Amino acid sequence: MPQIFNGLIVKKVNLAGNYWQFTLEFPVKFAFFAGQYVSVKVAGDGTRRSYSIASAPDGNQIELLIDVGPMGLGSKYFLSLNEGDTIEALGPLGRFTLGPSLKRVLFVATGSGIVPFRPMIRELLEGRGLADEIHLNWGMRHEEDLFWMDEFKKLETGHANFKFDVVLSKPTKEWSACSGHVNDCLVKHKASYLGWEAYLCGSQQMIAEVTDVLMKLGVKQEDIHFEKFF
Amino acid sequence: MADQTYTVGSENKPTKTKYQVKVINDKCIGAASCVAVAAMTFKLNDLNKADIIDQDGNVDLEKLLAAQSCPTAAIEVIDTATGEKIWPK
Repeated sequence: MPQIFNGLIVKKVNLAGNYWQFTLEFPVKFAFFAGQYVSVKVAGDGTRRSYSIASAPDGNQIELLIDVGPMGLGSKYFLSLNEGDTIEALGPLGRFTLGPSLKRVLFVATGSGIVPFRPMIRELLEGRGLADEIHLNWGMRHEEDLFWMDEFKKLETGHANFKFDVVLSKPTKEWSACSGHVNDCLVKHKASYLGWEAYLCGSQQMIAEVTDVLMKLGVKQEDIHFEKFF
Repeated sequence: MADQTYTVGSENKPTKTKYQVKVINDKCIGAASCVAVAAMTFKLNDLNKADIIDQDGNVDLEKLLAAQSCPTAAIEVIDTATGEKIWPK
């Protein structure tokens, strides 16, 4: 059952470029499933914005990743906040969560669409101990905007079944990994995803393009899941 | 909102509420936040769109929260006492 919580901002960090990470502490335990989101009141008139929870379910703290690039109401609200301030969050909300019996799983994200996948991947690798292949394909524009890289590389090193690919649409000459769009990278790395389940989070255009590519690569439509609010 | 947490979902069905809700079908993406917040008022239909099952299913605060937490602002809230549109502003 969702609740309204007053969350204390205990940490505010600029990870890279427009991406800020906030750690919120609630007065009581905040129970949720990896992939769910909170609706944050960002204006006095009751206007709310939805943000995927960036951390794994654990106790009375959650992390949010805010992309202030759009510079809308939510961006300005979060930029104005400081450690020690409180925010009103309603949650947990959302049905973009992991199925009970997953095997091979592909995650495809662009920009801050990677946020719900951070706790999902941790749950699969560390919580469920999934031994089958798990791939994360993350599309960004510039190398200087990348964040959480050490964390995902460490997961890749520690789990032979986890593969992490970053695709840059505007790479420098020095960038040696994938470039272009996320669907270019999918086709480049694998001829078939038959039997895989896919989770997508990003722009509607990306969802449509990747869905099309994945279906051609063998993924059933009912095995393709995406976050609707993004 | 007060300092303490507030759990949405009325334990007792209200007898009569003053807020009337309306779903703008074209805007609804089936995110289902309304169903999570006001489950006695909204449900998802076979097309994954929100339907209203009972205008008096939840208290006014929860109906308003359901509308405010909708990511696409697909729910309108009217105060039947005044005829004023409460949400979206």
